[in-house]
Amino acid sequence: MSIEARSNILSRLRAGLGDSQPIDQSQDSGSAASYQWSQTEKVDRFINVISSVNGEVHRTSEQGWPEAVEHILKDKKINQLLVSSQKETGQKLASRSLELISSEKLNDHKDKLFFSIPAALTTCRSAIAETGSLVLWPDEQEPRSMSLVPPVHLVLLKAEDIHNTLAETIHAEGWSSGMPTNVLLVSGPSKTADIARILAYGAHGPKELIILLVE
Amino acid sequence: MSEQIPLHDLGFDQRVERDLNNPALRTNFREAMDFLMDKRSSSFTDDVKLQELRTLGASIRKRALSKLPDLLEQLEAKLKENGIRVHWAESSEEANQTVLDIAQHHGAKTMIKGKSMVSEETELNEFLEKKGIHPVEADMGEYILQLAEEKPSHIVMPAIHKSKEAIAELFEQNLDDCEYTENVDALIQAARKELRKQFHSADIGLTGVNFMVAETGSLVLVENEGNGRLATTVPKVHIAMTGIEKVIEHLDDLPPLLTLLTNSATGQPITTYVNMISSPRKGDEGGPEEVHLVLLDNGRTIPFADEEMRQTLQCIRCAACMNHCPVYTRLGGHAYGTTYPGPIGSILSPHLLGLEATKDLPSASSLCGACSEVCPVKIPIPDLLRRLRHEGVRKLKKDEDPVIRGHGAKYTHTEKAAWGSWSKLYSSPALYRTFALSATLLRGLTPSKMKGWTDYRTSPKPASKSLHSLVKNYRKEQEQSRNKEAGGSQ
Ligand code: SF4
Repeated sequence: MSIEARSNILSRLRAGLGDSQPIDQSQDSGSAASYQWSQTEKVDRFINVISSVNGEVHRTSEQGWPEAVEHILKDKKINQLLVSSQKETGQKLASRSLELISSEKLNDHKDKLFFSIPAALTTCRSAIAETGSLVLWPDEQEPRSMSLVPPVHLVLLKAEDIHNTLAETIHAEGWSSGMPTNVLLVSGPSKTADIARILAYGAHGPKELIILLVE
Repeated sequence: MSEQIPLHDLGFDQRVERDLNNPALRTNFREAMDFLMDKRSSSFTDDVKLQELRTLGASIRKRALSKLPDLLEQLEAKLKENGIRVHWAESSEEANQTVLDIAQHHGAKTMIKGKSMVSEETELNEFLEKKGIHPVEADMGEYILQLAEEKPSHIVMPAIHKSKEAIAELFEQNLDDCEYTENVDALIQAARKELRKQFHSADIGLTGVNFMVAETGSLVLVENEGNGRLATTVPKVHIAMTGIEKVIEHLDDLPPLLTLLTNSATGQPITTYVNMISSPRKGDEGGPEEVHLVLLDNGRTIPFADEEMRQTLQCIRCAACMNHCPVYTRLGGHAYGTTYPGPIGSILSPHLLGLEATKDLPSASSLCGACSEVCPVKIPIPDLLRRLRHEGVRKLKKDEDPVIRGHGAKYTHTEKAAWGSWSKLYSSPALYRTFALSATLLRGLTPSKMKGWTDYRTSPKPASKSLHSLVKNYRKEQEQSRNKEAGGSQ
């Protein structure tokens, strides 16, 4: 069925094109805004945009972030944290007074993940100043559901990893030559306005998105 | 391809009548559309930049369509290389059957769905229910509609016609331990809790797709809630379902289109989540073991064959055209009777369903042009509406290839004869003069009821003098007074 459908659809499309010529990218007109901010401007822009959609940013340092994580969680009365034991996130938190749950082999702990783990801390690959977005490439240490299922998601972001725009990120990181299984842009906590246009956070994903910005 | 009839039993006029006379519905839509228009305009603050970006958006989509068959083959090859299975479907039935086959192969009983307008188009839920598989909608708007047994009235905010109170009642009746509350946070949390259980246990996740990138073999999903992310992460099998036109050539083409889509739709610089999927899970990184893509034609190849109507397929489904449409704002989405309402629906549905079933849609517009002014990919919607009106009253010539199903669906002998006489009258000065004279002399005899026209308007009364004779008289007077002046000064 599918094979026949395929050839029918493709031949209808080819017939539909007739002898018209394909358009080359060099013939594109119009343009997208591009930005070249300084490092300080990029950081400010990122913080402004993500804060405007309820993302919470804590500016901290290479030495200071583990303590910041501990404080933030204590304030929220959370003492369990899902974290990769193989990445710097888990390693640097090991001596803190937090119950760490290792995210490796997370897929074997679906029930726990769905119904009890209150928070997760992940790294991110980079970020985008223009739209206030975090770029996540989930991997074996930090599987996809880690940044999605627990109600609170903390992210460790290095200020030098902030790009100007998505277009720049794609180029700088060479995405076109090979994409991983899953790339995520996360720009705030999960939300919906599907009931009477009233904004509510924590629709299906995390209710809170907390960024530890390491400068 | 099978003929589908629109979902409602009432005729178009009756639906319009019904919805125009529903003040609560009209207030909902008026307020919602004002809200969405404000959102959009406050996010596009620089008009010069916006126009540049729209031009680029249109270029990207036109370029993709100019090589659509090649791009689809490239996409398919890339996806296969990445481990994603590709299925092609000519009709809704084929697409639904494909989904069913995959589900049955896995012995699936439950399915959790992210938002997919294409699955609305194919009426997948109804089909699967009959086959013993229970799909649960997870997009909050779609979930509300599934409980209420209603259809979406808007392509971005499907439950926009429902009031908070109606949703509160619905949840009270349908969700475990959910008391009546008008607190939206509480309502969302109740739905979240319920749907979490469904996500946890569902055998299959099904979603739509916003863009497919041929170059890298990636499926891009755009959303705010996380229903799409959950549906593409938790179940063992993910099925993505979309129209063949959604492909773009390069990954570079994505950023401008994303900006156009989210700003035009809801005035957001970007949605909370942009989810790019390029393969099933590898190792322990999570995600489904199998990913399938169902590519649907269902009539899209018909407008594709006509260069003008091909522009319909540039659409990125942002809904800005409906948000800005004075007709949609007054009617709401249900009156249109089709999956895609509003201006985009009126130019797309006739191809998907044939003009017989949709003949009233191209006329359900004042051709004010607001839609094409905001369309992020510059689809000339009013031109396409006029073209469809034309095709709707035109009988095909002998040996002429049809450009749409249902040519001449609105053709009537009376109308043809009326316009025939009209054009004769207007192309012969002598005839026209006689007509104008008799119309003014006999104006007392103008009927007070004229079918179609006087249902909603008063009957026109010709003036006692025609414009021609007024101008003639005016000229005469001018000449006389000039002559008089000339005579006096001598
Ligand atoms: S026709 Fe244009 S404005 Fe309407 S939904 Fe499609 S892209 Fe948006």
